[in-house]
Amino acid sequence: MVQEQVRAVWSATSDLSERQRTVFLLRFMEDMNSLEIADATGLTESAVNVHLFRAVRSVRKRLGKHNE
Amino acid sequence: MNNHLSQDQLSMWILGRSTAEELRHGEECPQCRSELQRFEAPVAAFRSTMLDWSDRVSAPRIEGVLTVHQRPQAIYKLFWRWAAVGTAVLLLTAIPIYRQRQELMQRKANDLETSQLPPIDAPDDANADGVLMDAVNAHLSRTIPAPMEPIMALIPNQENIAPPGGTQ
Repeated sequence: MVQEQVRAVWSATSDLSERQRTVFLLRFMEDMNSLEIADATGLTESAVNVHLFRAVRSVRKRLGKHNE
Repeated sequence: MNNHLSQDQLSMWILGRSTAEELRHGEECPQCRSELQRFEAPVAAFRSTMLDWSDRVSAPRIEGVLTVHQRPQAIYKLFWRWAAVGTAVLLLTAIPIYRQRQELMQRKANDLETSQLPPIDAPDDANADGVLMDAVNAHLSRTIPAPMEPIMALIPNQENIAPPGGTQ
C-alpha cells in the first residue's frame, strides 16, 4: 500500500516541469515556505506560489486517476 | 459553507492559502477531508520513504567524508605531539651537556689564568738565592779584595820568581 502510494507520487512528480518539481519537493519534502523556496531557487515569491499551485493541482489529478 | 471545496480550493487548502471558512470546511467536511487525504497520505508516505532512504544513503557518505577530512588532522596532531616530546627530550639532554661543557671551559680558563701568573715560590727566587750564595762564597773565598785583582795579574807568580842570590 505504502509502496504504491510512493510509486504514485514519484510518477506524478516525474511528469511535472523541472521548476514545478523543484518547488513541489522543496515544499513537501523540506517543509520550506514560499519565501524560503524563492530564496533557494532565485524565483519571486509569486512565481513560486504559481508553480506550487500548478504542481499540487497536477499531482492531485494524477493521484486521483491512480486511485480510480 | 454549503458547497464542497472546488479542486482549486482544495489545492489552495493544501498549500495553506485558504480562507478561514474554507479551512474550517476542509477540516469538518468528511467528503472534502477524504479528498484532501487522497493527496496528503501518499505525499506523507513518499516523504518519509525518501527521508529514510536519504538517511541510509547519505549517512555512510557523510561519515566517510568526515573520516577523510579528520584523518590529516589526526596525523598532524600526532606529529605535533611527538615533535613536542622530541623537543623536550632534546632539551633535557642538551642542557646538562651544555652546562657540563661550560663548567669545563670555565675550569680550563681558570687554570690558564693561574698558570700565567708567576708562582709565589717560583724557581727564579731559588735561582736568585743560589746566585747570591755563589756571589757571597766567591767574595769570601777571595784572597785579595776584588778591586785589587787586576793588579795581582801584573805581579809574577811566586813559583816563577828566582830566589835571591841566583842559582848555585
